[in-house]
Amino acid sequence: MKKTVRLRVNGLEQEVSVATHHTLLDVLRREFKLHSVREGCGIGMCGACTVLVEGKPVSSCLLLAALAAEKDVVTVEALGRQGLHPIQQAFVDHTAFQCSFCTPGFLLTTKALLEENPAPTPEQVKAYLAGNLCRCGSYMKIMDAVLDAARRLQPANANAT
Amino acid sequence: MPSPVGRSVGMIDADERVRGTVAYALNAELPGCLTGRILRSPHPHARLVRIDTARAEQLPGVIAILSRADIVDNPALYPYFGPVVRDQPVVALDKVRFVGDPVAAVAAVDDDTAQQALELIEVEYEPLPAVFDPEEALVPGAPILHETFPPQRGAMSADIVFNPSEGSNQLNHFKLRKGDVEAGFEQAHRIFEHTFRCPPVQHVPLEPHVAMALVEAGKVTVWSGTQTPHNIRAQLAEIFQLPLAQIRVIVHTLGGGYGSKCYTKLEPIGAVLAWKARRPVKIVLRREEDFLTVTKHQAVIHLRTGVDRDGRIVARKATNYFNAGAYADISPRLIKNGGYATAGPYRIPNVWVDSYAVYSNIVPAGAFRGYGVSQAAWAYESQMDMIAEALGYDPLEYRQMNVLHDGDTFATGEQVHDMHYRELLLADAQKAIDWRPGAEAWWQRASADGDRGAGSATVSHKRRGKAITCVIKGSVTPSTSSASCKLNEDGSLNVLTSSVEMGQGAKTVLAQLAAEAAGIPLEAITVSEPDTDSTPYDQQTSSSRTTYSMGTAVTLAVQDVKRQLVELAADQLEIGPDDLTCDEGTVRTRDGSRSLSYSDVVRRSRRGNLLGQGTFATSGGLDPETGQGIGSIHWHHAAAACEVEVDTETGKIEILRFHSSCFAGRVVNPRLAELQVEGSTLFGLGQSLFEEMLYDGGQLINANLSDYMIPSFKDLPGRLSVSVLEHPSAGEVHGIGETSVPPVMPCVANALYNAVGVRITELPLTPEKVLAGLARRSEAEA
Amino acid sequence: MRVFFGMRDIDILEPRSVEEAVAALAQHGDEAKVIAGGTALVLMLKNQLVSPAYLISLGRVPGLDGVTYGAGVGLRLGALASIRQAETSAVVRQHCPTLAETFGKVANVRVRHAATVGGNVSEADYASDPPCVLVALRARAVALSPRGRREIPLTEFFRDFYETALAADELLTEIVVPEQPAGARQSYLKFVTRSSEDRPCIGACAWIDLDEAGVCRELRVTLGAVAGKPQEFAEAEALAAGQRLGPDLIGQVAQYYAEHIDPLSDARGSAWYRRRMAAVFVRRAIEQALGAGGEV
Repeated sequence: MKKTVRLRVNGLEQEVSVATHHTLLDVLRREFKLHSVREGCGIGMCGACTVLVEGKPVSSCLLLAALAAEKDVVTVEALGRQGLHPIQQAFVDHTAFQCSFCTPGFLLTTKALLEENPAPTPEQVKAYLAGNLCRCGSYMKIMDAVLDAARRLQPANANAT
Repeated sequence: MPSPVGRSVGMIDADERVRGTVAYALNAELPGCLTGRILRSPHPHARLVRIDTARAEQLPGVIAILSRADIVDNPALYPYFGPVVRDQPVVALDKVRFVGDPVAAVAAVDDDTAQQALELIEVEYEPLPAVFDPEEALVPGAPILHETFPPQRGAMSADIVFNPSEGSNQLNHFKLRKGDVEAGFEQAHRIFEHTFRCPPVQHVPLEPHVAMALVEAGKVTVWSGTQTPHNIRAQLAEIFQLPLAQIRVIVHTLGGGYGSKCYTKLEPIGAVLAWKARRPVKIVLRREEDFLTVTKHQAVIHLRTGVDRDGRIVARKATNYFNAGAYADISPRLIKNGGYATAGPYRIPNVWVDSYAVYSNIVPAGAFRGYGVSQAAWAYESQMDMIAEALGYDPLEYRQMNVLHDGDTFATGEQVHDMHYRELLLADAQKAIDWRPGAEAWWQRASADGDRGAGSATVSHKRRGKAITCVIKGSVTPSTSSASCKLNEDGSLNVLTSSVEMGQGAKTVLAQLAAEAAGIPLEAITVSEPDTDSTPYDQQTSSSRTTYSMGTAVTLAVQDVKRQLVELAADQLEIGPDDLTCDEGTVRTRDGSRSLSYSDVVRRSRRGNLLGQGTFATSGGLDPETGQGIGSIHWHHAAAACEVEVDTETGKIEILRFHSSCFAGRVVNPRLAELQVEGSTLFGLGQSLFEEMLYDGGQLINANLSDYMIPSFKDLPGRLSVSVLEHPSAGEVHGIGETSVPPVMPCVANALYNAVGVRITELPLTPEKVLAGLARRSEAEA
Repeated sequence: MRVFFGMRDIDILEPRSVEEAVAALAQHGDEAKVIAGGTALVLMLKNQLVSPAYLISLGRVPGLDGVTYGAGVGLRLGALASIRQAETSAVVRQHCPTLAETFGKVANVRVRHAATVGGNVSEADYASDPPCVLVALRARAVALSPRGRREIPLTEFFRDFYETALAADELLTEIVVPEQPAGARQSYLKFVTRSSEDRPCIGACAWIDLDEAGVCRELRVTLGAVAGKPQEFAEAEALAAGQRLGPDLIGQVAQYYAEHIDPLSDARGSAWYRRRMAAVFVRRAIEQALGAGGEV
């Protein structure tokens, strides 16, 4: 069954016709061509399809697109429109990735983490990011990047977006 | 100009990686592209009685359905593929051989329609007896998977000896005969015999297998996430009976490979479906299906080792059974690497190895990071600690006593050079975990820790143990890499290569090597992605060979361009070429009086660009009857060290610290090398502790990331460190992409034993197995 | 082989009030599924474990996402409060830190942001962490239907694997965690045998009410992930009443649980192993609740 839904993605509103069983992941890729959002497992385990909904990281593979209507959805494409976002820059500087398939999910989850907790301990970083899987095993460098990103965001934390 | 080689430059494509814009095959699109989906067998072994696609074809939106009806007796198509023996049909022809074997494929306007169509295809099967265990599959009377091989086309790789046993499930047999093994056992003071097992595990690249195909105007174009573009081209040329030049394989950056994307997987079914549909078709596997596509080989290894009175290993006999699953894939080669590897990095004068690849009714096994060596090392490094204990040696000292030195002969009879186990690898591993020789055995510390295994909370029920392991691994030999480059009239350089970027940083490392050779900055270099229409031949991006083999080819290609550059500049400056030097993008006279930029030289030459070419081919190979010869152009080596803590009430192992030491010869990019070794270590830890594909009657029952776990951030060891070691005498780059996987599993198992005296010979080391082992120990003690 | 089938022909209803939601559920009953965070239900839909004609989304229903505390009432967790909200809520942390920590152990942070307290309880996932603790806390589920409001003790709410006492027309609106006695203390231990992200092999909750002298008034122990619903044995708990919880007594309780559960077997542990773990984790949970230095 099809339904017309008004989605607000990366600040832009767009009406799309979606089947009621299609997930936000399906629609972001198919209709919005947002390829940073990727299916790794389809069951909410890996985090490759992470998006921010109302600022909170969720698995877009487990969210029906029709139920995301009128909510703020953010993908990595919205980050760093002028130059890289400090979190992106920290990931680049530490080479906090290998194949990078998981990287957008890590970046968005890190963004949410640092907004909730601007100066996390390594244990808090692990706990928050444990649901984002990196099969290449870049976790050591990701830790360095996240802690570094937290430092970089410190002075400007109040207006970081 | 300072060379970028040896520096931790960031990935040259880092920007697109953090912007989420990497052009994975998953994102490839063509106008009018259809969605392809595959109907798979629910039976492990069955005769295909009838397929009726009529109802599915009538579903609106279905464009094509591919089944055996399109292939059987069709002179336009050769229906089989496989990198060694063509035994795998594009879709099932007469039989299905594992649960998940493709039976038909649908091309439809969207995924929902394709999915619905699959449900409308009617298939009638006649179930056949099935066999899943490699040893059972060799018993006379076992159900046979491949009664005969289809007529073969094309060639197989030069290094492969194919020795099948028709009418049995024995797919291949690798033999190694060094010295006189029986005489060796006769002079042995003690003989140790053990059997080691490891289960099939899956690569789980987060980007699944993807292929998009277009068949148009007599030309086949495939976009694939593959590690072996030229092998795909050759196989598709056989299937479509077209010249190689009519097949085009385009590869973008991969979202992880680890061996799973070597050789033909989805490409044949995708391309033939596109041929039938007369429109582009794209197939993206779901996670469940990726598990049904390729696995690491399940293995059973029987190891018999004889040692003399001084503890020196004098003879080893290994019988290795590698479960190939339903189709050959690369098993015929893998059993060779997993065969000679069973000798380990030790000086053993008499070695006898029989290594078998065996068909069975499970998911086909293929290349997997570690490539047969993991299974072998699991056996021999576990046994090394068992022998050391039985003889009263410290496990580290026992290794130092037996390990290969420069100039020793390896099991393959070849002399080994650049061996750095003693002074580099083992020393580094020892330091990393503060190993005190002679004082690390569990029974020595048991009393100090208090009453072992007591139930009360007031007595600690945690025990700690340490271990050190080391391995040797070859790289595919002989092999060939070819590269070309274009020096453009602005002085920038295109490197054309078919090496696949899959997160290992191939583009970055090749750019570093090209920059050094060309004497231009890294920023002036662009490295291509594979496109078999334009990028030169490369055998494969696997076997930890790209930096060494393709790096050498790229360097040769750049040198070729530089030679032309100097000759042209010599003409232009009217001076002898020997009086010129190239650096910083400029050709200069040796006295520095005159110079031309590369750009000036190219412009003045009116050639448009300068083309360079370089090919690097290694030679070697092993005798089919004795396994003696040249097994590897050089030998990769690594060591591992760890400390674990075992909860004796639950059996759970916690990795307190883990250290991997990998020999790299010369490091091109330290940070990328560290990432490879850290990644290899985590790959090994997952396999040590929990990764395992679970079957029930041939049905894979944990084909998702909730039931099949891979390591998370919180599964990192308390401390993880790596050393990527160089040696001044080593001129060569050694591959480091997978050498640090095999030492991990036995290292954890040996540390477990070192902690609590429980020996587990079958991976993974689950809490339940540990607890059962502890229970057996206390029963035996009581 | 499990085949993933697409989901088709589902109508999504979006009631704007509790009353509308109750009415929609009454109208469609068996043909409808209530969806909130959707993390569990979308999975079931993808796997065709359910195939409803209607999804009744609670996304636009106001007033069900509060997490509050009232003296004499206890904690009130609105059905639409996210797990993450319950985990981080100041009042939950203050009045029942063990419950807050337990919500923090559910899946990963993405799931906790999306999934709701009501969804978690009504799914009745045998391996989920909160049900086990909520049972030990003697929480109650509040359900609305055209027939009125009823409170269901969670001790009776969970029936079996994914089965609850909710009628087809009943909407879960709230979980009430009653005020705990002053001497009550709890612990919850989640034991995983594979990756840190695995579902538990066993979860153990101990709830102990001690008098001023340190004598146990009441002991409750619940085990999750070992059977179709949280397991609790009154006979074993009764051993502790009026006693000091010393090692022998704790051992007896633990042994009773180990002997009386009928554990399931799966890749996270066989029945043999789970039985052994029941003994270990009942003991450790009691020790931890007592603050006796039990280990996780």
